[in-house]
Amino acid sequence: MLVLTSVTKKYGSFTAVNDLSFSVSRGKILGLLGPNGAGKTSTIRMIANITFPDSGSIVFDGIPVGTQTQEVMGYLPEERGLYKRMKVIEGIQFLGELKNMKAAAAKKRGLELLEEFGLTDWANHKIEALSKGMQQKVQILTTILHDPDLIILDEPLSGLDPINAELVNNLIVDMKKQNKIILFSTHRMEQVEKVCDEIVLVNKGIGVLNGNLREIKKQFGRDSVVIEFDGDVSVFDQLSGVEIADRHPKHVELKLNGNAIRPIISFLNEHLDIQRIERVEPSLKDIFIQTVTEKGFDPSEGDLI
Amino acid sequence: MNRRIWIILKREYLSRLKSKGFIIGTVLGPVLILGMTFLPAVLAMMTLGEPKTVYIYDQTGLYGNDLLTNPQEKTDLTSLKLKDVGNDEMADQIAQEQAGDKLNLKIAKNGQTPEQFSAAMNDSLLAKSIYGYLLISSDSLGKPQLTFYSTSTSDYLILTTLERRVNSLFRLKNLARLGISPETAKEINTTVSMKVFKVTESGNQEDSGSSLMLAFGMGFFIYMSMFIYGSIVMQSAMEEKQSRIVEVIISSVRPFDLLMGKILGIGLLGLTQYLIWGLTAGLIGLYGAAMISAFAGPGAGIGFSVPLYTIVAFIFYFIGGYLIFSTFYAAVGASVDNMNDAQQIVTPIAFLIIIPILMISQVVRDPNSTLAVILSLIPFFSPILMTARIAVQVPPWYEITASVVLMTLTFIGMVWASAKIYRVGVLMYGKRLTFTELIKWMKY
Repeated sequence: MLVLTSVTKKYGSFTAVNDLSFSVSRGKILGLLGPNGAGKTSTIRMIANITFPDSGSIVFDGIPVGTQTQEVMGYLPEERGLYKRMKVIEGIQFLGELKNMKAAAAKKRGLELLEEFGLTDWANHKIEALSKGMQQKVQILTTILHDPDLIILDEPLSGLDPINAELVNNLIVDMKKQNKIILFSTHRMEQVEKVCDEIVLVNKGIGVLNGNLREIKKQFGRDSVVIEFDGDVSVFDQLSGVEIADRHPKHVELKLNGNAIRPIISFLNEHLDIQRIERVEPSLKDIFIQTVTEKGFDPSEGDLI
Repeated sequence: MNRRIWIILKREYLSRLKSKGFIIGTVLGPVLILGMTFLPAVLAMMTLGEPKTVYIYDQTGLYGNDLLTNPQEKTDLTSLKLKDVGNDEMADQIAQEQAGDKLNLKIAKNGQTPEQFSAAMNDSLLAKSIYGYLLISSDSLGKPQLTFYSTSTSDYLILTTLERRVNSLFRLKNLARLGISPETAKEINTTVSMKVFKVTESGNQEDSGSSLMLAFGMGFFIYMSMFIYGSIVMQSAMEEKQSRIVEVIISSVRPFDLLMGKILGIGLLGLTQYLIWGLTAGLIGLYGAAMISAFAGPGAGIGFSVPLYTIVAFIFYFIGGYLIFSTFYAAVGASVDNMNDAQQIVTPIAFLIIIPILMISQVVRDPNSTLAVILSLIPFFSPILMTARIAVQVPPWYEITASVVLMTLTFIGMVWASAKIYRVGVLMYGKRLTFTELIKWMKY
């Protein structure tokens, strides 16, 4: 179990993380969400024992984070990097040794993972000879090389093509099955909706929302419908009382704001050829915006996607 | 040493040892140094490729023809050789110059007046068909007067050569005129040289010229090494930061471990390089000595030995200097984004390395003066200046102890400060670095 209690981090007069508390237990995937500059990376670096909190505590499995917890932790930073001039397998082995693996064991496990990732042929090439995508794979591989109990992924999907993104998603689910803790940090909220069990929303260093994703969604109600159709999208403008949350030529998401759905559907049915109708939960993005607005922040300040 | 430092050290050392850069540097380093030593001489010889024509007009009629002949051979006028009268050095020099054929000397045609000669020569000069012309006249006392004309008067080699040849002839003629026998002349020309002995507590007496050379040599060696290996450490830290791998590494090890592993690994690499050079030089030296004793008989050899304590001191101060400066270079490398910023921060530190090399001749000349003692005790200067002092004259034990203690304390302080800067610096991007900024980081 990873527990953060009242963690605060200041850089000079700037408060990067302000009295943040949350916890996550084994076998769970936690989404750490928020716009750029919200304090996600600052939080992660403290969990990784790269920087230290000014106050508050971070405890993993009963041990305050430090050299000991670093050995059972795998960290994929947002900015990727490897020793470009080292051979792939040598670079992997080195990082494994830093995590207290024996050289031979690190090499063996590295080769296994390279095979799993389809990179066996590249083991003895220099890292700089690999494509960017392959380098990303190698880096992700080194993150889990030493079979860590806590895996921290900072924007793990950025720069990955759909195939590799799927690979990472599968890996995350795999790790969850192995009863590990996965911390998935991103500013792209739609990325975590499918995989996360729990979320922590942060804005300007402050935790604004924290809890089980299902429950949070329930809490925010099922007030939206998605409609797919053939016809003129401007028909929707004639509706009153509802809000168009998302608008495309053949796809519209409506926020009902408490209005009954039947009259709306009948109206639309007269003018459009409806292909699909579905009641949906609010997106995390909507939840985030609603929450920070309620708490008195201006949501337009963050660059939320 | 903890396991993490060891792993970092191992990677730093092995990956560099196997690199092309190291192999090339190890082979080319001595070639470059030898090249820099001998290149000026080689170049000077090469520029003398084409002989330069100089016409001589000898009003006295005493020297002209003899200037053309080899000074090794007897001339009609003097019946003497320079060697006969003990002027071996000058004779050798002139012989060499003639062999080099730098000068193509010609005698002016008979029957010209000096004015006619000058006018004709000036024309040739401006047409660049000759290099210059020399007028030899004599004053009322019979002393030759030389006047040289040329369009370019900056080739001091030609000027001194001409002067020397006339001088040597003048001397030979004077000896002949005064009726001095070659034997007497040889006696007059005898020179003596002074041998210098150094008195030490162990009673040994030895040539002091070699210890002076040793002081300069070792000082310069430490100076070069601190710059070269310091900048390798800086580059290495900068590369890790630029490639962003550093964040992964400090999520596994403390920045202090990374810093120490890096410094020790590169330091070990430096020692390996010097060991290779040292052994090579040693083998060549042994071979050379064997050749000398084979040809010149046993006992002959190079009278140059370095006392053991000097070697020990050199190694200690060499390593100490490297450690003190490389920690700083590492901190700078970890804190900057690009080479330009790095240069700005490093320049003031470079002065700490340059100042002692500027002071070294002062210190060596008077190694026990207050100035020398104070300078050599400043921990940043000790590596160069204390080594130099020990080479020329062993300072009192308490001064050596003091410098060792001060350097150790400085090193600990530097490591402490650098580790702090390192921790903050490696995660700091896009910020222009200043000294005040660095000091602020130590408080984070």
